[in-house]
Amino acid sequence: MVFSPTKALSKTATITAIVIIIIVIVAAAYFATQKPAPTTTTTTPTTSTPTTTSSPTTTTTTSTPTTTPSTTTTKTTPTTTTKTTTTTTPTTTSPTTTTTQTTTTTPTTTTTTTTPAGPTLKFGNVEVQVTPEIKEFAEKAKKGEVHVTVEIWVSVMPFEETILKNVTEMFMKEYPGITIKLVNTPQMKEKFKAAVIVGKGPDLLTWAHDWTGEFVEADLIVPFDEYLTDSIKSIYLPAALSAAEYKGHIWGLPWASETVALVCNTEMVSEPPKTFDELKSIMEKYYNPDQGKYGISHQVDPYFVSAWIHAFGGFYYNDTTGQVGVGSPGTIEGFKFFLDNIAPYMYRDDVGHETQLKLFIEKDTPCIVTGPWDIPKIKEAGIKFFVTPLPKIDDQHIPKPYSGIKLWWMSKLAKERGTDKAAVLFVLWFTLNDEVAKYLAKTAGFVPVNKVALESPEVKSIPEVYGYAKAVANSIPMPKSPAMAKVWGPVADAINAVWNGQATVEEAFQLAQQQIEEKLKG
Amino acid sequence: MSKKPKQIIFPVKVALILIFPSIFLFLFFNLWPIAYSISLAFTNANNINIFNPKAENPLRFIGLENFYKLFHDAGFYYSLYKTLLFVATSVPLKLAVGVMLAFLFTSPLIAGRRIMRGLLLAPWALPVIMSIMVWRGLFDPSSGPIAGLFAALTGRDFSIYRHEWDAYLAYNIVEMWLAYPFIMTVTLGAITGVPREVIEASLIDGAGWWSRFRHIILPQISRPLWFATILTSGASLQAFLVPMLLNDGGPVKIVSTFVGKAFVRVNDMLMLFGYHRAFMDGEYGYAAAFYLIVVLILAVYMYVWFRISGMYKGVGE
Repeated sequence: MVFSPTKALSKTATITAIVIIIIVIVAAAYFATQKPAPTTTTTTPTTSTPTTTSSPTTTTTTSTPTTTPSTTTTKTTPTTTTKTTTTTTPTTTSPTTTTTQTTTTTPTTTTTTTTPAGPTLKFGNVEVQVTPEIKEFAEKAKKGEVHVTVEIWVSVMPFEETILKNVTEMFMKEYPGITIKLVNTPQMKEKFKAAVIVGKGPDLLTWAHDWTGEFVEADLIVPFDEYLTDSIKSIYLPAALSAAEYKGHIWGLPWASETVALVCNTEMVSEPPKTFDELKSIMEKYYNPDQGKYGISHQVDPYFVSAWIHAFGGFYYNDTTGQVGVGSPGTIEGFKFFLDNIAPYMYRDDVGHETQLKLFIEKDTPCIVTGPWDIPKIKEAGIKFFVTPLPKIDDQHIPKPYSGIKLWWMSKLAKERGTDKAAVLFVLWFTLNDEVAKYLAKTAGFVPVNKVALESPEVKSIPEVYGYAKAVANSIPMPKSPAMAKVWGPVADAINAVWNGQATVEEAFQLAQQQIEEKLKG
Repeated sequence: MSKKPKQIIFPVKVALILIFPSIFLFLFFNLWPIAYSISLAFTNANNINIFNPKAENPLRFIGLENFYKLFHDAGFYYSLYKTLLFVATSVPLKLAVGVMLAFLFTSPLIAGRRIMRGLLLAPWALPVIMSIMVWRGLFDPSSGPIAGLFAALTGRDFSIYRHEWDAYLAYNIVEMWLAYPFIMTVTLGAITGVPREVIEASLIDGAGWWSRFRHIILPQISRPLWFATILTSGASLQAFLVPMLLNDGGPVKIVSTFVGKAFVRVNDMLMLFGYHRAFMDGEYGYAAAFYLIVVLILAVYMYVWFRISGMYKGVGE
């Protein structure tokens, strides 16, 4: 008999390992397929599909639970709406009219008339009606009778973080019962998703509104409906609030807006161009590639070229109809316009953010198409500039860039942990307080969506904020459907392929249309 | 007699008990994620439905659909082709530079070679991401000195963002720079193991430097060199950071293959391709299926290499 413990060991171990591997794989497969339909006992996929798809639709039909506007609050709504109709554009922002400056205090006064109808809270100079629970909680927080810590996540540049920290400190001074823990989180979307699943995420987070659909569909955030009153809603620009609406609920509260506009160096361009032809002559004047001078700085990606595509009636995706418009004639015509009339004056070898911004900062281009996020760097470089909306091509063709509305969302963890009231109070204070909006506009150039702040002389006297506010009035909020995740990629691919001379506009955009439709189907 | 079998069985049981903690840890940290990602490959998991049972299109078992889709994806074939091509060009480049430097810095003719040898290991010591970002700056079409040099040499603009093969060339150079210290170190170690008497004998027999290298030194260092080659070709096959940080696998072009037309990031190496599917498109199930195929490709590749090189010889015997 041969004595070989190693052989026996390896045999036993191998068999054990194989058995364990098989068990684990089967278990993993079982759990992976079981998760969606815990009610059904069998793993058969086809049966579980219809039952679970029906559930979200039923939840959406039972919408708007506890807004309950009293009769006196309805009185306030007409007054505020008449105020907005005095402005030229129905959708947004009053900065285009100067007459509204005198009516700055109207929203405040109209809301104070509703005092007997219910509890009110004052945020800065804005007094609004709030739900009794929030009122009660706010009183306690003011006296420091409660002790709640609210974790909020932002994804911003360091200087913005400092400014936001200052704002949270202002809040904590006013409401000593609430501690705000601000965390600057790069890669916020992925981290937030993972964090909610393990139950360790934030109570609140903020980013542009286009993540809303995905967060809602992934069941990560809770709506604000039950905490809102009509008097609260009337303070926000209607377009900004509508950006937070998805499937009949309001999922976030807006505090700033951003879009792209034309920023020009006043040393090179004295007057803001009123028409595209004027802009074109400016670009022609400065274009001299042999000396490293170019006519304009412009990033080339779906977001930046959207203005020109919308000018010709094109679109990428329609949120309400679910229609894909990448291959539509308007989209193709718009991109061709960009290629024929703007691209020839650009530095075309690197159209990324850094290079294009550098060209403008080093005075190699007279103008740049960019958003408020670049303004601090431009200021830092000591460049004198003005901000103006992208000039119209003619009366029928007006460039309308995509805009993003910065929203505060509340994660479902806040509800589970019971920190939701404190979180809501913070968001209401942050978004309604005109002093906060003014401070943010002054220090970081955030464009307010708070009507009271927007009409204040302080905000109007900041040229870049005023310029961007005008640009936002002529913008289209980005679609917020999660389907957009499947749209951006192919559109970017199409633009990239055309830009590098790998395909014609028609070929690329029609292929993108086809790919998006296939992706949305499966 | 009764004592003997006990001696055989007893150690096995004890051994199993003793290895239990490590088996448990292995299962927990390795096997579970592996099994989970394998199982994902057979589902329609995406960024919406993965942890949300209420999703409109809930997570479910879809059989081999992901694999069917993968084998009808022009991007997959192009990525495979590009990756294999990258292995074919970058590995010889890395080897040539690494071996050459090793020989150069063992030569007694070079003064201060020890210090220089140390300095040459710098790419190893620097954080990879930082060095790639520096290289990206060097290749920057508007301000990068290397881009400027290439542009001057070829007489056309050099752009890693716009030209497929410019980017490819940049990948090769950066990959070579990152990997040569490894090859160089392995070769240096092997060279010092070559007995001086053999070299002296060959010198006396009148061998030139090439035949000395080819017939005396190379056979002596071939085994460690094979080993280094296999490892470094594995690194090339799994190129991720270099393409991602230099230009994210771009530019994009429309590629027609036997499975149809599609947009393709022309320098999307295998690893990056899967990353884009998972984190750009949010198609976790599809990405898992893709990586499963990649694992198979890597396994076959490594097996073939080990067979060819005879690295298995002496193992398990």
